Amino acid sequence: MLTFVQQLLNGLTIGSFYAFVALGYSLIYAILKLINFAHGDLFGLGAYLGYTVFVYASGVVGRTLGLWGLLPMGFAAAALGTACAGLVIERVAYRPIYPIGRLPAVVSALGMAIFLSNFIMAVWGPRYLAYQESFIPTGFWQIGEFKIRVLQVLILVSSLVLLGVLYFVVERTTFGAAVRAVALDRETAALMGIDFLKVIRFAFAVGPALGAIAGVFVGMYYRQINFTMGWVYGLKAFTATILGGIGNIPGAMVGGILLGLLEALTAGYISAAWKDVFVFAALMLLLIFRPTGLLGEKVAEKV
Amino acid sequence: MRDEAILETRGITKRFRGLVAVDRFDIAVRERTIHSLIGPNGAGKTTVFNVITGIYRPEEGKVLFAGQVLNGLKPHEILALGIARTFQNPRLFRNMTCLENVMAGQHAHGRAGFWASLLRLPHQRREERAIRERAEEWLRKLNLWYFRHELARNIPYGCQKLLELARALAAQPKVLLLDEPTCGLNEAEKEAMMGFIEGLPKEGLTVLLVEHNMNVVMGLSDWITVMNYGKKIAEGTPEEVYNNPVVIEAYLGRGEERAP
Amino acid sequence: MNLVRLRNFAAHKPVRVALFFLVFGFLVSFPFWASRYWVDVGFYVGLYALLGLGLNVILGEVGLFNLGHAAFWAIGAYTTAILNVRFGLPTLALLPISALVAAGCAWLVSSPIIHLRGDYLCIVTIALGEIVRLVLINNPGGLTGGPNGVVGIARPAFLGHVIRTPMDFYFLVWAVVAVCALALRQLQRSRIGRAWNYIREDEIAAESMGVDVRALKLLAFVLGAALAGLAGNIFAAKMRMVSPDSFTFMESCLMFCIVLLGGMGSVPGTIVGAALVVLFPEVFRPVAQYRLLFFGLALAATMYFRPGGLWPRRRAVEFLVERPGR
Repeated sequence: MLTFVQQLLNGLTIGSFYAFVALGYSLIYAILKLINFAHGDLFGLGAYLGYTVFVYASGVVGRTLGLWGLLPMGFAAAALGTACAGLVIERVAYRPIYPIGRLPAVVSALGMAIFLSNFIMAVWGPRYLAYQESFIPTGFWQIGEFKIRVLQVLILVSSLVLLGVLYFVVERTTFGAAVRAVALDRETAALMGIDFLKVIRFAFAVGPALGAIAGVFVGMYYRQINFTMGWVYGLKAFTATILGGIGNIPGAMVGGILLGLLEALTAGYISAAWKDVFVFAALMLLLIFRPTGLLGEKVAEKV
Repeated sequence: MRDEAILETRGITKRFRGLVAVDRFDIAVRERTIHSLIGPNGAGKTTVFNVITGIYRPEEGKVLFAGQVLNGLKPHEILALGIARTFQNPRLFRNMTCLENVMAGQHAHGRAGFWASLLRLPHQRREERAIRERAEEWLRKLNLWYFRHELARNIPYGCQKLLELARALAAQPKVLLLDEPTCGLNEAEKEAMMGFIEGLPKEGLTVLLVEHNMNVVMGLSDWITVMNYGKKIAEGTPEEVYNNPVVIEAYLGRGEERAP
Repeated sequence: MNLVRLRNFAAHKPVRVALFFLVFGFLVSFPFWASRYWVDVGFYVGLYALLGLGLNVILGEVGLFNLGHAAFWAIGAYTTAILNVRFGLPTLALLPISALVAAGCAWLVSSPIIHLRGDYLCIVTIALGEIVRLVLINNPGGLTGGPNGVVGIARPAFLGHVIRTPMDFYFLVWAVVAVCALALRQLQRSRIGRAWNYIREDEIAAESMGVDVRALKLLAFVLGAALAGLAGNIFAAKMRMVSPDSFTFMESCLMFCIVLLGGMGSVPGTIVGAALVVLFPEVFRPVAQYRLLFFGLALAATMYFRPGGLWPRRRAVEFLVERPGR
């Protein structure tokens, strides 16, 4: 029972990482019908930016404001920097290409993914970098034999809050209505006076920013980062996106959490080595029987 | 009452998430006639086409073609039996030449398999030549010869409509389903299209026509079936339908006739 | 654009024949005057051309988004490795067997997923590629050797001549590429090739015109995988070992890029794309650290300037050049 709860907690934590990253995929897919393959590497970039800020600021800020002053700064810097990177990529590599066709856009996205991961390697080097204890909340609560880390609580709470905010913005505000309108039909939305570019910029700023926050969390949780992390998490988060139904915001959250749980429970009860095989096999089975994901709409093609 | 029907639907029903697009619909198309299916927008005409050609599976009812039940057959099998169609908005193979588009019609009649094609065996070469020659014949007949090597997306809209017709005819069907063949055409093109459709029964074809333009329908049809909200509301000769108060109320009376 | 003019010029029959012999002469003479290093590079161009040709059938001709093609390459390579090392079958004789095994696996896995459309198929193929790689790492039944792979594959021998030098391998791979390219050209000009293109252009119209969409999609998948299986055999023979590291998602992405860089459904385009993908990092070797960085940018730039690829298939010209009834 204890291990079960522990695995559950692990699964929820990992699931929140996936949910964060999956949201970026989903948001951009909903609006552009483009799988942004560079998104995983934007997440990696976020982790590195956060790392850099922590390293340079931990001296001054860490001494004056303490850990809880340092953290928001690191997150904000990572999110902002990555959002900017997302906007630049959209402007340079997608906006000129997506009117041409979907396949060229996919290749362009793959090109950007290769560019970003190699950019990270060129700047920070190919070796693992360690997130140091001085900028990780290391406390934990002990309830009997059961241990909850402060960091885990922080991750879960912030994921719930941020995803809730995003959900509110998209579902309840006027701007959110514009986003949904563009997702449904770009041309009609444009005819109705919706600023299409504004919606795209929103997606390419918010998606990568959320990814960056997840990147910093992953760095703190596993204590190390590497330039290849973007591919690994990107692929998993992408799977989560599909599980939930691509282009669907609550779906991305549900998909992420489910994927995390599935992974943790398979690792804990079946085999750690085979967990990813299970995850991908589950994805394939799901798509065979429910081709648009768990929460995806069943779309009949108009003939 | 009309037992010599070549194509028939019996009580077909097609629903989309609770919306009943076609509701226990019957139609019987007699051989070598032009039979029109009319009704206001959204009446379910195109859905009937999609059910007949196997793109949609009806929840209830049967589709019969020359006595054979078509339910459960795939679209390509239905074409091979002898039902070809066109689409409301031409669905051409846009990045292929007009000639290749028309050659598509004969795909189902080709026999050459993978190895024959790979090795270009003599019978495959003969078949290819025959396919090509027959396609060229259709292009000439429909005055599309000039465009034969042009990509389908580059030719004028009226010609695209004709090209789609040529592609369907190249399949040598017994029944041809035409979904608004004159929609979007100018007067001259419309005349040409009508003249062409009119001659089809003489060549042994049966035509089922969905059309909004009343001049076309009244001028061409041997028989008309009217549907609204997925149901058949009337049928008869053009004169009978024209004077039927139910039809006038549902359709003509509400002024839904599309401007030419 | 100049490239377009160049292509129109290249469409004339005498020019085509001359061009063909020029390229042919270059490819045949290349290993005799180039250094061993560059002959090796030439081998990799051929290998990726073969992989690209396989994916081109699936992605280029039929328009099925396959981002897991490395899986079939891996299956071909491991078939060769395991059957040679464990059972002592001669490596070259395993060339067709590797293709058959890859094709069989493709048939098994693609049957249930072939109906998926667009991006969903893309995702499933990514998952497939990952599953194959992970299974290889996990070493089921001690067969695949885990992360270290299988080592000690025997050199292939052809009529008593052992294929060992870079030049030998260069000719082996390009001979296979030539045969496959020829075969694909034949298919392109048949009802099967046209039907593939009909599906790519409009699936619903294709099935309404009598094309058995499912069967032809499966055929494309199986054929594409078979070519990847051939590439796997040659790769295993050349490296004399196989390991899961060689068959990553990145490789599938590169193949995807090869097809689109060259031009969908274009055989010469695919070879050009392969040359580009292999040569680019070589040319930029002086700035080794940044070469992939530039490669990423170059991909995006190519798609911007030539969205149809560098050597797209020109349909109209093809018909003008070929007279009926040859």
